Amino acid sequence: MSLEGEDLAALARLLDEALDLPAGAAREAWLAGLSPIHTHLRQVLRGLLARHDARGGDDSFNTLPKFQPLSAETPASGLQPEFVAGEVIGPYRLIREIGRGGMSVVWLAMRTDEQLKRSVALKLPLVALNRGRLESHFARERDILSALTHPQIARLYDAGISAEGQPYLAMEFIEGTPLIEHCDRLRLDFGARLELFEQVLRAVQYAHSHLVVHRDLKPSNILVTAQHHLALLDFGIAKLLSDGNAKETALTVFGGRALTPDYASPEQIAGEALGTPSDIYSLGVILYELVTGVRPYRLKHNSRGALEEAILDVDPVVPSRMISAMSARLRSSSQRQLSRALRGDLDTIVLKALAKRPEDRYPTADALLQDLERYSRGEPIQARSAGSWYRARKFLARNKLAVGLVAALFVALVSGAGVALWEAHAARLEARRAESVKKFLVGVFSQSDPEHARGKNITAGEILERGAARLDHDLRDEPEVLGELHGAIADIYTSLGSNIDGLAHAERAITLLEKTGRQRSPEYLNALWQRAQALEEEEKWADSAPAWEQLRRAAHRVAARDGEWDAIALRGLAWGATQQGRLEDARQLYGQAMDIALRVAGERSVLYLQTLGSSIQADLDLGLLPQAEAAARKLISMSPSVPGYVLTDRLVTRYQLAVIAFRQRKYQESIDVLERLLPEMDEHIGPRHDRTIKARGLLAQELAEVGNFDRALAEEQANLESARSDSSGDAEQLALQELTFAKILKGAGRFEQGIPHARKGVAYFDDKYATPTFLRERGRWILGDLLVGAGRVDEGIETLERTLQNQRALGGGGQSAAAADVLMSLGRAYRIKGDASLASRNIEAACRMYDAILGPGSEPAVRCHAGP
Amino acid sequence: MGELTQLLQALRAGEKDALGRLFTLTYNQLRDIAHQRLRNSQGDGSLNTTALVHECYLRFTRIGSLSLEDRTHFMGYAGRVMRSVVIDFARERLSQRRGAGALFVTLATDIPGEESASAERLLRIDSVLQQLAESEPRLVQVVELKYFAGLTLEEISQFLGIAPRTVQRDWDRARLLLLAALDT
Repeated sequence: MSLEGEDLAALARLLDEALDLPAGAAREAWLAGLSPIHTHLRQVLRGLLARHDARGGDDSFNTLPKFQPLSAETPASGLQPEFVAGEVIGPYRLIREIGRGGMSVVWLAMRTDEQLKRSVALKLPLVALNRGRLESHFARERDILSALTHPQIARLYDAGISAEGQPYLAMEFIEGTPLIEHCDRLRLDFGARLELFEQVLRAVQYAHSHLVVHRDLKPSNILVTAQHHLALLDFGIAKLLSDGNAKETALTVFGGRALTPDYASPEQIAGEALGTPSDIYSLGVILYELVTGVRPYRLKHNSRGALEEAILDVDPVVPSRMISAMSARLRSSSQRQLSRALRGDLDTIVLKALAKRPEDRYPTADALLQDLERYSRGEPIQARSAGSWYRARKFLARNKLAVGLVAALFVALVSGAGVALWEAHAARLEARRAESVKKFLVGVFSQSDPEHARGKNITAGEILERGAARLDHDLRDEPEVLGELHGAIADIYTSLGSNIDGLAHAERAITLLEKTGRQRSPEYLNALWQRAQALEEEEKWADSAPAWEQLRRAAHRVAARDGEWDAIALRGLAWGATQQGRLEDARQLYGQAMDIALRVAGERSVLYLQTLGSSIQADLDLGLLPQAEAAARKLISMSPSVPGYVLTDRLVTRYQLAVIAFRQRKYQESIDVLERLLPEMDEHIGPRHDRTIKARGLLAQELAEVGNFDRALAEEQANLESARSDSSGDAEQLALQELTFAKILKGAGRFEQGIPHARKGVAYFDDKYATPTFLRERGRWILGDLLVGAGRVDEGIETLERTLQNQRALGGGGQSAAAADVLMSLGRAYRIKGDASLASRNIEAACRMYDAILGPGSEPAVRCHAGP
Repeated sequence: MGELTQLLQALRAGEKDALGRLFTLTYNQLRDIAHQRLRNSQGDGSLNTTALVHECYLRFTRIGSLSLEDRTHFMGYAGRVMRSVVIDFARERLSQRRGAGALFVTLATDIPGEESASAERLLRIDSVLQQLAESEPRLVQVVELKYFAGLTLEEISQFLGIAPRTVQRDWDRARLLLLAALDT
């Protein structure tokens, strides 16, 4: 019998009663007395109870069944011809089976009749199935493959048919790991993966140029040997393009079904004519998986049908949105870092390769290769033509909504209130409370009905905004839940980078959680942390310090995690102190934070290393170069053994080492560090990353310093372009690079060219800071010098006099090395103008100031006394 | 997108399980890990769901502050996820065979017979649990945690805050019910 629905439920209930009864008369009586609607279950019950009595050795449901891993194409039924080791096929003796696909078996084999004992991979097509078709297929493969000789393509040595009628192909034996497995096993980072992929592209381009389409490109057909040699296998269903026939033969249709659809192109699924674009598509899927760890389509059901449907009709999810923490770790990166690296250009490249229409894809493997190389060099890619860019943006917008929505809901649900809501029956919270949260969520999402937004996408941010606006009204009777939800929303906002909104919600959360006596809850500590963090990001130092203090106090009340929170809060306080110029305080606070981090997490912990890393900046700012250097070297030697310590942080530390050398005027040493570091930065975090731009700017300055103006200008020119092309980039960073460029141009004597760059930098800082700051005035000094150099002496003097005035408003009452620099420039300018007395007065003042600040023996002082 | 739209509509209509279904959207990640695990299991073939539960737990606590203090809720969720992962896995196995095209069904079945029997059995178990979801939610949860997540009865009793005797009783009943339902 087959038990269904009501019977199952009834049986469950009846078993509950019966299991209490001892076997024997009592049970029989109970069975006899079953209600008439249950009598048909009597037999089943009797049998089950008997089994229960004897249950001693019953372990029927103790463990899950085992499965063979999917990727190894598993041995099939006995219907296929079986080969055994030692068997001879043609001139080959079989050694062991090394692979099996839908259409053939591959054995490691050795030639029997030759002196040269070369082992080969012997591919044996399964002739049991439709011999005629396979033979023509086989013959074709032989002809095509023998024409291909490329280091990255497995060679065909020999082909024939044995006396027994078994066709065989003797191919180069490649002992390797499938591409993606290889990358994951070695935790290859993103850049190393791209390099391997570029090798694949070159091989495919070679085959395409020989009019061969692979048609079954997939990671398991791309092996990497222990010597890191990459090889493409199995041009099993390749077809000579030269016959030029668009019509497909029965053979290819047949072949099409044998494919793994995961990497098949839409036209392959649809059974249409195949050309090189079909391989491009498969390469797109491989690239997608290589960088994200997943395939491009999320399926409702894992069936072949659903996959085929998706390949034909569904737009792939943008790769940068598919990075999980796990896949980032396999790429020696962090989730945020990796998705930042992919966002934009790489997304566009992958999506172009995956375009549904063959004519929308890259026309050749080489075109794809070139775009990837452009991407690696930080140049604009070709895929960004109007049409494809529009499509890419469309994908992004659409998926942002979906992904963002789920993220938002997920956060709300995972926080206590949400889970309680989800499993209201098990919740300790009263149903009333769950109900009110639910109503709220339903309300929010009914507003996001896509129907109401025809023609325009609603962003997750907008939904969040509307939801947040309704929160206080809808949940006014549930302050506790309300507090938690405000906290969750603060989380989302800060992770989206909206610090101001995050701050507002964190504050609401804090108030509400305090009101409801939840000061010891993790939600409360988190809200405090969110607030302090947001204030810090907004550079509101006066407010962030008390916020960190409050977090410390609150954490002390909760025993479990106080140490960790304490270290984090102290670190925050220290950072604030650095930013306000209270460097001694900062150093002390970092010391405390490190002690605590050592105590609660140990030396080999992310907490400790991060704290150590941030302390280097304070040392640097304090001019404690030996201390900073010692800390940086310690960090660099320890961090590789601490999982979770992100690569970006390590790169930054190396950058700091370069800064230390720079400060010690060891320019060549610093240049050496940077020359090694920058390629890695370009590769891992990209040339447009804030840190990379800073590092390249420093390199350019130092090259100028050692007199290599040509390279300095080239580096800074490239850097400036990177800074400009990052539309979401930091405007201050851009302004700084404009000034750096201007300064190098000044050194190179190209004054006229430098002026517009200096003006841009100065305009930015004038706009940003109402009162003089070091950078603002440093920029004006460079501008003044450039004007004088370009012969616009009066304008230059005016600019320099103005900055001299402003210098007085800075710390030290205008007594600083920077002010001395300005005086020096003024002296030179007046001399050019022909005003000897003003010239010498300024130069004398400059020399006195250098003496007082840097010491009479210092290089600028000596130079000053030697005369301009 | 379609799925999400449906869910939103369901939410609006006040459908009870819409939120639960929303969770399924987050299962993908865990499913990927499970598959990765299996691929790396070097032929052992066991889906180590117990380790996955721990991984899943770490993931949530790593979201930061959202650490699920309440172990009851977390474990309830983890059991559901593991069941989904295992069932999807079984489904995938079967669809591989069924989907391989008529020509190959008889010839090159990609999975051995034993495996497809296991997979079908798992789907049957899942169907039984679905039918009991409403009348016996606790029993279903015990099966999820015991069978799919691989926890011990003692652990389940602690996590769910249910007396050990009750957990044992639920497990006994579940086992008998499954035996009856699979014995066809």
